Amino acid sequence: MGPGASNQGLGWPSSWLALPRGFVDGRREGSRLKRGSTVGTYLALLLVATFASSAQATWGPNAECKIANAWHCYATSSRKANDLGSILFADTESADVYDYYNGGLATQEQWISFAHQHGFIEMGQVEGWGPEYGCCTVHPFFAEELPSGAYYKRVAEGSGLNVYAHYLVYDTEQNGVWRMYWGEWTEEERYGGWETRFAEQEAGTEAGTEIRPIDNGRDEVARWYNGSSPWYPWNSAQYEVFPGGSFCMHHNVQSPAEGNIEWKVGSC
Amino acid sequence: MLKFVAIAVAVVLAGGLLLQSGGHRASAATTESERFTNYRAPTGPELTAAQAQSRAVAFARRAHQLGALTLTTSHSTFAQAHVVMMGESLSEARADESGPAERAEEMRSLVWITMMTAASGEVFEPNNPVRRGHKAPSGKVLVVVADAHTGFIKEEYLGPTAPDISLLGPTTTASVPAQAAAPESQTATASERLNPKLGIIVGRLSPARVHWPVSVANTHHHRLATERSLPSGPETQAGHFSFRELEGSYLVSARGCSSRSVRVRGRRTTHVILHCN
Repeated sequence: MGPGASNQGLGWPSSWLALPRGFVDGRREGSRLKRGSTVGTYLALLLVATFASSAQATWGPNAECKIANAWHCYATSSRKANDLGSILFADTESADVYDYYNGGLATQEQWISFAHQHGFIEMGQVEGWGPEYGCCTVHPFFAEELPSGAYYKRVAEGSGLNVYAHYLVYDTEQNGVWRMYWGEWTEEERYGGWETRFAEQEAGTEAGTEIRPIDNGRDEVARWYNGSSPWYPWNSAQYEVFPGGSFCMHHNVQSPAEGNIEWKVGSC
Repeated sequence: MLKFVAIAVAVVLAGGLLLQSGGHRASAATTESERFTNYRAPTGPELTAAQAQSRAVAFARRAHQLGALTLTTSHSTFAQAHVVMMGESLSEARADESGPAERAEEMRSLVWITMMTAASGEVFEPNNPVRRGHKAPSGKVLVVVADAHTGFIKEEYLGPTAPDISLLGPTTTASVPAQAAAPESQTATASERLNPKLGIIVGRLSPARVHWPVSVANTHHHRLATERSLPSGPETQAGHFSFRELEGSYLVSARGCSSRSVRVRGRRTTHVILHCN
């Protein structure tokens, strides 16, 4: 099976960039088939590949991707930080969460977390998450998990496919109140009680589904150091697919600055 | 407020310019960005309190909470429900309701806010996006805020303490009995008990790593199963994991940790510790 063969017709390029240093190649950590396996095994795999639909029950390497919170799968870039603002342009190219009715979800989002406080702030867009939201509609969302373990989330209406939606979180007053903006509009949400600089930022996709979803997208990221600085591209970015083989991830070929990625479900 | 709006627009535009300078735009993207300029609050007949509670209960059942529930529901504007849920004062809501026109229209829209409390010793565990490696949120109180017309769930709170939604006005309370457990669990339990050769591997990662994949393989290094280590809970310490395997020899391993050979005996528990870097 050649690169991209599992996503014909979804608009992905037929050839992929070589994985840069630090990327996790799903083929290394995914299937563990060894040479010397019997012909019968290959025939069985061929039959499965031939008749499997796009909505396969259990997915990811060793069926490790599930709906339960501890079994979500990720393709992300991340970096250590000491910054005042984080911006994400998220473009969901195609998405379908088949088990949305049971709460299955796929997100394209950014997270920030802090040096001395547990928890995190996240914002981005989500497909699925329950019958209220449907299988394929893109909804902006904003959430925080407090050090106490309490969790707030807010879901908005009105985002869409094939557009770079803007998500910005920053503490411009440097008072621990993080203000969140979406789509060049105005303040959508604010969360207080946090430190004034975040220590880590991460962006990419997360899937929490029982059935293999469609989740193709790309993003662009930047950081803001202080109130008078311009937006800077990321530096010292780390890239990871977790578990290896659940997503195929590359640099965003249309905007290959550090930290910008694109992804699709499945190994490369 | 206007100051922050102006700063935000300037900052986002500056960020956009930076990101665009990194390369040409994605061909799939049809516009430069998305604008939230078309919000119109729903109109027409509203859901009743009972209908709002019914939707909230459905939400709770998806949050793996099948036990008895106590519900309290109130009706308010979205801004008022939001500030009460966030533990802020109602004066904050008035500011939100009189902000920029489109935002104000949404913040003035009407909602049902329903607070649900789980039975003693039980918690809600809805599927939520979580930063990798962080403990998934759970709590004995779940609050959902739904549009009063459409039922669209706009907000959720999950945590240990209950917000005082009586601040919003009259409340409607209800109790819902426990939902019957799925019969499959009984079948699975019986099946395991019938196999006398089935044993258990119980272990932990030291130092503890939570949600870390741990694998068990046979002596030919064929991986048989992978589980993720658990966060601390009523019966577990952080970093615990377990497998059920038939009698025999196995290799237990985790990335970045030592591997250990273990011997499993039927109906017995084999303990193992993997030391991690």
